[in-house]
Amino acid sequence: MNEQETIVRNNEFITHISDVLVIGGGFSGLWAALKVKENNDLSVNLVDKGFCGSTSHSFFSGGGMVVLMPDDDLDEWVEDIANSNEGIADRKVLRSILENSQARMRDYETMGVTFPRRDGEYKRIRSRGAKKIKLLGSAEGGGKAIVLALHKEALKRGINIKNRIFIIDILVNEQGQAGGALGIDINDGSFHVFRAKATVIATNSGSFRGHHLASDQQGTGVFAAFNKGAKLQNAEFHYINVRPNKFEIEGSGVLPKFGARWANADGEYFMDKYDPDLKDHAPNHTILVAMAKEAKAGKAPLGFDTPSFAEEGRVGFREMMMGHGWMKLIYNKLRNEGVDFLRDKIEWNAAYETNRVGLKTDFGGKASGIEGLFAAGMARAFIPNTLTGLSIAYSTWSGYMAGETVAKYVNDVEMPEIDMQQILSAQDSFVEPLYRAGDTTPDKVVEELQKVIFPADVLILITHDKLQDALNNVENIRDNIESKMAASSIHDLIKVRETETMILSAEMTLRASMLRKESRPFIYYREDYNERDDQNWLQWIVVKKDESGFSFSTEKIPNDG
Amino acid sequence: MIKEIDHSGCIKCGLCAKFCPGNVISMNPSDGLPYIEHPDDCWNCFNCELICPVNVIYVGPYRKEKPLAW
Repeated sequence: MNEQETIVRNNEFITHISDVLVIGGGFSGLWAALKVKENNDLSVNLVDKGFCGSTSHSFFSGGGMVVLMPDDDLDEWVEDIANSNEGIADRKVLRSILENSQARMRDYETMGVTFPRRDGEYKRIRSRGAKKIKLLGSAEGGGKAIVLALHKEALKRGINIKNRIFIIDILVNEQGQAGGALGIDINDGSFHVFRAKATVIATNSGSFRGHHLASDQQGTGVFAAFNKGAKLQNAEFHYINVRPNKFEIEGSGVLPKFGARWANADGEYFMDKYDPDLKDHAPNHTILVAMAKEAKAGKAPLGFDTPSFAEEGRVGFREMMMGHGWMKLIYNKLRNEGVDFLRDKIEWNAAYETNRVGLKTDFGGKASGIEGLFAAGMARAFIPNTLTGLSIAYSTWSGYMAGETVAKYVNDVEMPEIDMQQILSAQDSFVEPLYRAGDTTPDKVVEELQKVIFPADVLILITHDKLQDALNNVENIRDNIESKMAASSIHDLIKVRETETMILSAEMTLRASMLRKESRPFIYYREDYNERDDQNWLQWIVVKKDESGFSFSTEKIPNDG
Repeated sequence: MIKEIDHSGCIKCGLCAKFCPGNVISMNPSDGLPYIEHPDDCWNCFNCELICPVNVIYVGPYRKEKPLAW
């Protein structure tokens, strides 16, 4: 046995057979599994690359959920979300999320989750950047409490959960039918073949490790499906937040509620100029573009005017935001190091959080391009601007929907046959970096990629020339550096795969952005095409793999919700 | 980023390794103690520090430096 063979156990495959395989253990994956399991005759395997529930993006979320109450106007809320996305939204999906939101909230309460009330009424706040929709106050214990309640329910209902399994390939037979996935156990290097009649991808979207709570998302689930023929959508859209330069504290949406104002290096309150109505309360993307323009004009450093912030503002912010375990922790750690986030002058910058690329599906979550494949949560393409509290409502809804759709689907199909050669070939390609005499590491390549993608004039103040420059650099990384990444452990192998995925994702997003020649300020801004163009661009951009790499098409967005 | 696991008070429960989303912490099979195997991969989620029942882990407040937008 050579050194590489002690790292991965090449000749051993552990096979797991179930009706349904769910990949990803956050809100949507757990919901999909639970819905399938309502039928006791069906079996479900759920795999997670971390520890189901506790290492998911859901776990770190604030726990605020958009819920439509009986007195709220459904039509108004649908339009409010669609308008916040400047028309780039499927109204039928929005309507269904909202119509079912109260029932899902009750489900959560039945599982033991508590949403805060005042005088018997649920506490509700307006979602940032929206005019109508409201979210419930954060669940007690945050998103963590919700996802752990789902996890507990999943264990109770007999869902087989396999932790620390990284999925390296979606298995698709010659008829184009998904038959499960191949994974590797991160702890012991054993390979696992999950055979199933239907496979649900619930692995969130991708990122470029620009933000701490999205550092585990590289889009490997979504892109594994893409590589086998599934179509993707929304590659041109991103969620780029703003954060302090050196540490991660949230609050850009909340600080203005307590009177804090954005100021440039000259002390000017610059949002007065960019959005005279909403000023510091403008949507995230408007603030992001304004900050990038200020920086370009030499007006950085940029940040809140916290030194002149009123004391009651500091108290209010602490009361509202320090409920999250890590927020309070980081605030106190900074204080111990002599930094007061609410009193000192702190420099802020853009923080790339996630891209919005996801699998293109039908209403029920069935993926386009591969039979037997389904998607839920942010792995399913949704809208560019998810608004505060809508992410949880959507992840809940899409997981529930996928589970319902899959449960019906598996009744009518046989277990697909999968060729062993495909499994061996996927395995060979995954472990190949162990045998390379490569001269670079995934970390170095990711840093190169970040240097290309993160500058403000690439994805924030977009122009064709800058996209082209960035694309040339990404292609150079793809053609000359990617194959030189070497690995000496399973940990490294996974990072190589994640980095390969980020390179592909970067190329795709730059090419998709070149196509969308227009601006929609709440979600997308191009300096060279700064008008909204509904005539040509009330369309989704769809991507599919082809012999030259990938190709794009467009699809009109229906207005039939 | 994660700075320290103080082994003198560690009860070897393994929760820090189990709940780390980035596989930063591993358990040493020879002595059963956790160790920081991949410090550069820590992304400041604080899961390990928050879950540790005996409070022997310290994660610093500053994240790993990365290229900025401006």
